[in-house]
Amino acid sequence: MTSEDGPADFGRLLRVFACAAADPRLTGVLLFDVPPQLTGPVADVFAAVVAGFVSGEGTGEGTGEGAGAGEGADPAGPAGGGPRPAAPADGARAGRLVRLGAAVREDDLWSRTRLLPAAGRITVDVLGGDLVEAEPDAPPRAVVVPDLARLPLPGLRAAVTVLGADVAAVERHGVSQVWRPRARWLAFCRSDDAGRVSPHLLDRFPLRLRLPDLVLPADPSAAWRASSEHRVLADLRNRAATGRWAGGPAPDDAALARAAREAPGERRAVALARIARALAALGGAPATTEDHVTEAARLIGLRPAAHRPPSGPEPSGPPPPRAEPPPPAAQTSPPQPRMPEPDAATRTAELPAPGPEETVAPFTGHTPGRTGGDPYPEDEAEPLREFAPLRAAWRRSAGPAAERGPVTGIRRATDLRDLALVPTVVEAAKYQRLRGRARGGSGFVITPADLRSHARAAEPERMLVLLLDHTSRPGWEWPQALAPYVRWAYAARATVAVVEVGGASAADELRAQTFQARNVLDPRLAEALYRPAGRATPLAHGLLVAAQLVRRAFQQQPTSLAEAWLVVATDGRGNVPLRTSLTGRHDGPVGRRGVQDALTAAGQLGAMGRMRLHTVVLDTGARPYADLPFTLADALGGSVVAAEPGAREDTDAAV
Amino acid sequence: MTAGTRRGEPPQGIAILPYGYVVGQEEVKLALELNFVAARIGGVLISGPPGTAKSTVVRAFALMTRGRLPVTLTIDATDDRVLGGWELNALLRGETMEQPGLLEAAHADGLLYVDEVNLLNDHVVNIILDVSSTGVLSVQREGIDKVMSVSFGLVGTMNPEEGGLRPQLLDRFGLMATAQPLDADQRHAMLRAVLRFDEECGEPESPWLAEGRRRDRELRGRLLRARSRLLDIAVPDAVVRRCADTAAALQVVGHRGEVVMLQAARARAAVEGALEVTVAHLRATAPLALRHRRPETTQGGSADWTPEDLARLDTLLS
Repeated sequence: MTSEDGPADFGRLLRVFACAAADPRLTGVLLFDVPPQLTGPVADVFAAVVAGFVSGEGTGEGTGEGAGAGEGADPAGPAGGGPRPAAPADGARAGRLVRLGAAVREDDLWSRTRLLPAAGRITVDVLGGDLVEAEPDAPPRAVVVPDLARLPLPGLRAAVTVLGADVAAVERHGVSQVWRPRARWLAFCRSDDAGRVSPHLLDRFPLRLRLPDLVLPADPSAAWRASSEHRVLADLRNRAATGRWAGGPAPDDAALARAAREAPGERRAVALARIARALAALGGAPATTEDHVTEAARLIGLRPAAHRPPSGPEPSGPPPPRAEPPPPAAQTSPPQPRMPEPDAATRTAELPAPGPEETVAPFTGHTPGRTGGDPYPEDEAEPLREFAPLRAAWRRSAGPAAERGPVTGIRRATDLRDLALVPTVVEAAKYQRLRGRARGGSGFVITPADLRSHARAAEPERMLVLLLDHTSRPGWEWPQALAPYVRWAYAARATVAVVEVGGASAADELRAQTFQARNVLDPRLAEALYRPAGRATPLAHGLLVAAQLVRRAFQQQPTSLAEAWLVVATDGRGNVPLRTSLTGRHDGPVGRRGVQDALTAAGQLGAMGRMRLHTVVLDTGARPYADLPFTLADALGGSVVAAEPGAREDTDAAV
Repeated sequence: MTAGTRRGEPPQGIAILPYGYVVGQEEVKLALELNFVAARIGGVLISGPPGTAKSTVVRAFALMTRGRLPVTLTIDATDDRVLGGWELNALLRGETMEQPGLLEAAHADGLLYVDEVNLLNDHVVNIILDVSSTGVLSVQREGIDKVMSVSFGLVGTMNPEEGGLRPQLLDRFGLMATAQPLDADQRHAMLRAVLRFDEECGEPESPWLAEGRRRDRELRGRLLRARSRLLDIAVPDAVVRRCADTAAALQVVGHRGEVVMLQAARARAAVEGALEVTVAHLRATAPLALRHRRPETTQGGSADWTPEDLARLDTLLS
């Protein structure tokens, strides 16, 4: 079986992995929209490919770094529940699989300290972390990021430092080391999340694929071992073992010109040329030609430069004076503009299948179907990330909340709060021989200088609860009306809870829907602000849900939640009684019950009497029931903010 | 390219493109070369979008001029490595052996390189500011009692999309250069050089690499000769006056800008083999010395030097 016998996407996946293995400079693979249940098996295949061959980096004998040493490292075996990849064939040594999840800490990545028992005392051993490659001859590691958009700050900063770099260094806790990064990175990300990740980091991934319809064969590892790429890589490895370059033949002038012309940005042009060269190596070609560049562009889904919107990182200048070969008649279907997602029925018909051994045609682009797509979605994505996302957020207080965030590392203690006991003992252990000698003997001595405390990520101290009544919105620009509150939430790093009533696409129009987000940059908030209106207005249920959210927030964060705003954007005209929302059954004429139930729910919310909860009703100005928002605000214990539709100045002044 | 001992070869199997093969980025190269010739300039900040060879240029230049990679301060360095501490393995044996910190190592090397300098943790920035402004490294911790004078040039690279620098740190860099995207011809040449280097760096006897090293040796020799002649270059009073007037007209914050501009102009004259500094030398170095010291830049604005700025400079230094 060859890779092209399996599903087309799997064939492309293997080809991309093989490129990463063949060229030591193609160190990052970024996969968009892979179904979550497949990330584990795909990571296993990646580890197997990387362990099986790496070009130009030696495959000398030795013990390697061992599999599964230390926390955060697993053998190149089962990961994420997927099938176990094969041991590297042909005598290659197993590399190490490192997973960077949502809980990764700086000290896991750069240096790790182990306590060791010794006769009558404790000693320590300091090792390089998961990303430190101390042995130049050891197989490279496979570093897997299951969700790039959720990688915490230490992981993001590490990736920017190491990925694609000529040189990496660690200078932490007595460890000082410089090395050439050889690890291959595999990251998963949703296309919709591209705007949430720093473009600086995304730029470090030269190999990209979008695979929403990926289907794996029954035994992916067996499929890999049986693939043509596996056979070719084995030959290339033998060549690399002699010390010669095995990453592919030199490109000719036309290939370079094409790569320079097609890829937006210098780094992308280099990546495209390297992919082309790796494909030439995999195909056994004597030279890297323009056709290989075409094949590389098709592999990663790059649209021709002439058909791309001018939104790349920088202009590429005028193209070199070289005539474009006329496309044959069979290839003349015009490239499509960037289109919205096709529905499921049309997707299957649009699947391009650029198999490894297909005939290479002139690069006329292809339909941007689900598996094609733009390999650089960050160029056109709405930026939904924090300002300077690779820098630690400013802490707004050193109060109790500073002691409650998730632990991100260890630091020297300045007081006795939040001590990290084990790191303190480890620090003291370094000096025990000296101290024992100085004090003549026994006992484990800890001095104030040894004390270590936890470094913690900032925990939200503020919360914004938005209740959006979509049926009251016609004529309104909610983004503008709500802008002051959203800006406050952004500046305060507040969490956001959104309660929606009356949305046209609601799963149950009789009930409110809700979601919570880490901050206002969550794309679901923008979607909510533009959601079309439906017919029902279960305002009472919405207020009930909002009350539950507020109560839970104050209960779960009794001291750290410093302030919360509840903004109710409605005209007050609820038309679904609370009982109907709760039971799902209509029980006679509604009358005023929808409004009355809303006022009752609002009264319960107001009765909480929370000093740190500010409540406003954003009056959408519907007539003839102009008094309803005021009555509702009274019940809530809040105030009414009125604004003309789209009148930003008025709403600015309100807060 | 494996462990090398000859000048211009990187250690530990680390492969860096020879400086002479780096395509484009003339402004960045000029700033680094002037800073090498006149060390009192105090350092270079290189700003630019990703993928414009900022780090490569710095490392290649260090290899060419010093024969080794620069002392590098990483963005997640801990203070014990920045300031210095005890050597850990010796401690475990019950011995005390100091491990010099990066600042002390930079003093010995003359250069401290900070990649992604705008991502440095604040407390490390404070340490650098303290040491570089006073010239004194004082370590009073963990039983270490050490005070020493230190001096080093600071070279930083950054992507401005990830935020700027505090004005105090910005001012510690004598010159600021911006890395620019390449034009079509340069991109073609860059691709050829980069891919050729991929293929040749495993060949210890590569004629192409040997030619690159030869070019680098030549350039280093020229820069060293310029450095030795630096103090012989006359600085006419009229040029000093024009320098001061220009800084005043551009409302440069502080006075370090005009001092550095004059030092850089003198280095430029030395490289060109001139006998004295001229207004043309000032004109060539003014953007490097002043762009990060204008009021709008120190308040977080862009450090771009626009065509309008250039035209104004032409008027002032014509």
